Amino acid sequence: MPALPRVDRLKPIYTAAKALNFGWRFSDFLKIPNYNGISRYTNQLHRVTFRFCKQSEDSVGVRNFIEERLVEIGKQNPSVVIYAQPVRNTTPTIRAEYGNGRQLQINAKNLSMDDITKDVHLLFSRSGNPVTKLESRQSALVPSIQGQWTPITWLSTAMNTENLPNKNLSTFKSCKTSATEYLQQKNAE
Amino acid sequence: MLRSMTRGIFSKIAKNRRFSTEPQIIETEKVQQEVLEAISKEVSSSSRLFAIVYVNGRQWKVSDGDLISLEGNLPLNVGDEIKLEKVLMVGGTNFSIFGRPFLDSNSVEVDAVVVEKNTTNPELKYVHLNHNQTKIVNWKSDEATVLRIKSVIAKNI
Amino acid sequence: MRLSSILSLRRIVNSGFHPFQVIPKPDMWRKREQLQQFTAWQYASERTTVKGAYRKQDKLFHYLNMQREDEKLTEKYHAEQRVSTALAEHDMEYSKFKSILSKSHILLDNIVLAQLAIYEPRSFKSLVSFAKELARQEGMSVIPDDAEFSYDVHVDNSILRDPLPRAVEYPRGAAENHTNKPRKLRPDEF
Repeated sequence: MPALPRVDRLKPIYTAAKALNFGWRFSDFLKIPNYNGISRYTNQLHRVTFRFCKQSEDSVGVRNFIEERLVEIGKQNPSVVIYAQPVRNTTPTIRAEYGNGRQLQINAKNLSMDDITKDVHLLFSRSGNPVTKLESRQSALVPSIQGQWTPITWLSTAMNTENLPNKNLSTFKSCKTSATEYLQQKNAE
Repeated sequence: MLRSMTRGIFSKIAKNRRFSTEPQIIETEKVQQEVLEAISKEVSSSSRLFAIVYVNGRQWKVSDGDLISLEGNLPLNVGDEIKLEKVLMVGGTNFSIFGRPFLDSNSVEVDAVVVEKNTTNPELKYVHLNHNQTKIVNWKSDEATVLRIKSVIAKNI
Repeated sequence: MRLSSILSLRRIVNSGFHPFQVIPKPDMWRKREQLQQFTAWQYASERTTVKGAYRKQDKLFHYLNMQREDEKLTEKYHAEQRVSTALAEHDMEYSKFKSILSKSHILLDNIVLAQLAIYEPRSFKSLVSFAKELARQEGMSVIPDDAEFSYDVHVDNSILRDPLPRAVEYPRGAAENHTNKPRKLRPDEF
């Protein structure tokens, strides 16, 4: 082994950098994978793994959670596969795998049972997409029903054949009487 | 119901020009009947409709299959189906009905499903007081509830 | 909690350290890693030096804070601009339009009105001609619609009411530290 351990950080970083648009912030549109909820809703969580130690003090919350609440949650969500995996001296973690192939892991070290319950609820209700800044709080399958506005939507069809500039088409419309009009009216009187 | 609520609020594309030389007697009741019949025919042809609903302190223009993200952890579970009842307007390709302020919730149905409950992206609250050795960096995140609009249906018009 | 966010993402090329070497002094290393998450893609001394990077990070944080504070008002402002522009196309004034809408109890806000104007132009146009007709009957001067696109509006100004009272918004919530102390209760009020 060399005196200075050689660590290759380049590979993961450059893989990540492919998704980079600007240096410090990502944004995305509101999305839900697999057209979920259009005909019916299916839970996007497929698999949860609890890794914990049977003895250590760090994983006491996870152990309590597994003893008291896990079975109930499993009965409520029959579509989700749940593993409880005891590993000696491990840092307790909860790992969730979603239908879109992404996975999410929570470090449950020294967490209480209530905190773990909250986190597990969050894992069960997530869709699996990463959290990003939303460009808009709404997204539509079909943005426009009547046809989106274009600059010629309300343009008079007379414009098609007239030679421009045209006096009729270029008059300024106003509901106030202009000074010229006022004087003309006065003259007429 | 809707008939009384929308009385006098609809408009119709002009078939004959407005500025005719002959004075005409316009039977408003008859025109209303025609318009309402045309709308119910349009509605029953199962074309796509949009509605403006009021949810979560905000108005949303929604149509079938839209996603909307509501603020906060609402008392709903994932997969719950709800009906949005505060409908301000419905429209289609050829018509639009405006409520004053709301339309009857029996005549317009906007159904939605809760598809996700997650957290929002952390936003920064930053306070830097110069010459005070004070820098407060607080990454704030909120909870969000995402709804999918299942259907916008109008009937009994 | 964030799902597969890119942790410790930072620039390596042209930055101030060797890529294949664990840097001594791990405490400083960790701080600078965090700093570089924000400044790795900046230019020149803002990326290569620590002092410049801190200066840039301070600015970036200020910009993010300003963005967060202004976001809601900006949305409303843009919506208002869009609605008044769309109204200008139909020769209508914003104030007249809004006053007629509020008198006829149509409580659409600017955000959806702007969306209507862009995505459902015919609905918006019908609403504008409705408002124009009523405004004309109310004695306001309006420019009539172009005959080609005019709608046949049958409406009477007897449908107009008093505007509904506007919701009071308390943007900061109730004050917590009262500058004026609340009045002491009288004995009979207990």
